[in-house]
Amino acid sequence: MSGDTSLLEVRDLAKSFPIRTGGVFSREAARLTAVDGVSFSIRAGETLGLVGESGCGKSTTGKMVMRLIDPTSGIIRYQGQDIQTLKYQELRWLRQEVQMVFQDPYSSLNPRRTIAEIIAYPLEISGKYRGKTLRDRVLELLEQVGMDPNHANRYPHQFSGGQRQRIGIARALALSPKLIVLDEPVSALDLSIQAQIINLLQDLQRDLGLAYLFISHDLNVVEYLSDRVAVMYLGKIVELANSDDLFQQPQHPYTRDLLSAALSERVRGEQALLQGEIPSPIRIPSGCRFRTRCRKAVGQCTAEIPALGETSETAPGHRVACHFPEDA
Amino acid sequence: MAETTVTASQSEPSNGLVRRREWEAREAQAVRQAESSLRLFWIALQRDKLAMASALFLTVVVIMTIFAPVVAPYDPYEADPALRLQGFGTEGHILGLDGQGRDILSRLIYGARVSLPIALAPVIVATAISLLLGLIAGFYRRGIGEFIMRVLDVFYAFPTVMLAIAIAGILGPGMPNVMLSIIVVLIPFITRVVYTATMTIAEEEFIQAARACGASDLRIILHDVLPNVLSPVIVYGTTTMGLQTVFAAGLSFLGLGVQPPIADWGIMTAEGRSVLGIAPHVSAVPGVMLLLVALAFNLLGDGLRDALDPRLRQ
Repeated sequence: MSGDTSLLEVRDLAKSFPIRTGGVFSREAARLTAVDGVSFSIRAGETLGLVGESGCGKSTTGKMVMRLIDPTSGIIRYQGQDIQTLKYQELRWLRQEVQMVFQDPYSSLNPRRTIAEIIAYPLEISGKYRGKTLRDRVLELLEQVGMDPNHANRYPHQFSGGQRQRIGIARALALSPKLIVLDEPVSALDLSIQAQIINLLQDLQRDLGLAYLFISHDLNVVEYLSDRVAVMYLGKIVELANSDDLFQQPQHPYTRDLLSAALSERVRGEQALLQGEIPSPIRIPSGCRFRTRCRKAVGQCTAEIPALGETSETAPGHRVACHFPEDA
Repeated sequence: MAETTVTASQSEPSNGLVRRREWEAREAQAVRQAESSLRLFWIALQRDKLAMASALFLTVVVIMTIFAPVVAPYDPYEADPALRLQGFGTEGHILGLDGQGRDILSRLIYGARVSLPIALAPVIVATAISLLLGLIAGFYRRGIGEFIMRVLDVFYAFPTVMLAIAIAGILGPGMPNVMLSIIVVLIPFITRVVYTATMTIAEEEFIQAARACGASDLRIILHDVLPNVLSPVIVYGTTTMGLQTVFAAGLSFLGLGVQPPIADWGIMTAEGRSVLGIAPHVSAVPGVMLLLVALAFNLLGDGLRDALDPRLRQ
């Protein structure tokens, strides 16, 4: 992938959490591997979709990109800068460049603050706005996300889930970031409201040239919004391709199963192929981690971990981590 | 609010004077509303009749306490042995007289000068200290937080009364020492309330959002955590204020607090104990007063909590 033009570059990112026994003399009982060697990049103005079942590590990845969680290993570069090494002043710069919209529109807004105060928060911290310019910027942002600026002094509980998510988006936009991590921004919303928020995100991307890391478990939404899509399974990316390629010609059995499951939601009556539960991230299967649920698994899958790479039959940039990729 | 109202204003940015004026009008309104945030609180509190009645009652008690020499009909130490243990409505003595023939109403008014500070001051001081400890412990749960809570657990393990008696016993009797012992006894309890509330709030997504906005830990604690933690603390603090009046009275009763003949509601209740059978009013009057003050603090605390919470002050 072209390293020069990418805004964000993630290399071999990994995160595991220790599981401790209780008490004062706690010791590490096991390790939960949330993210295990994830690499991807995002270009300016592009949307990368990150999909997977819950617990596959996609939110953890997003939070590491935001530097809300420290990775166990791996490198995250934003505009060539390793974000892990940023000190105080540079970190403030990063906060202006990369922002986040959270999943839960109820928990992500402080109930004690008016929405104007919530949106003004990052502006105040940046120190660049005060008084009238601050006020103007807040009202401008409210308008930008389609909220009535006359409601600036209301409290979050006076708004619906969709409106709250708009407020969360306005907060993320406040410092004019170039990249926004969208952590399941619509999964807590009704279907009709989802469409409105998705449209808003699209409009904002077009007008402001934003790049998105769009994290979701909903393939339909991801297909609609993403330029490229990475499919995650148990902390690893199993397939990464242009949105069209991935949805037209999925190569990984997991992607294929996910797609047919999503499809059967659309076309009622068809049996979803994906069966069984996602294995525990504390005991990850050897070899290919999808083998326990894979229709095609053979001995090699138990022994060898498949690498994420391009295959001869795929379109350029279409990478898959499978010993026996599906035919195009 | 309907979602549909929202899309209408998604117009392309138009420039010009009209838009400028619109902005300024909006801003003026915004400033007006921001100033009234304290007023909103006041309006909400006024709507709570019980809280307002409690506030009024406490105000009257405080005023009477401050102007005790003017308000009290008699000297609280002056005894009239002839009228010992006379009940309610004795001529010139509405609330009757105690075992030594002293006017109970006068002693009640003067007694508040001791009982009220003992109830208020330690709770306020202990709450301030507990807020500091609890916020730190709840926010940094590992390391420093663990240390703070384990140390407080040691205090927690002692029976409250025993601990207070021990402290007051070591320091010797007197009002400042009683207050100090109450402060020490209260801190573990209030800190635990703050700690638990802080832990819950720290898990909320808006804390992560604040961090993503670049807020420092100090800013997050003061701006995001504290306002959300204040409610349970206010309720707990005001509840315990009533309790401390009784508690301080108990210490006085045991001879560790204020010493007789000083008028104090606890001492008065204690002194009436020996004549409870023949003249119950001697104990009952200060006892009921303790109850009323405790109740008023409690109800006022409830009202304050509701008025402070934007979700509850509809």
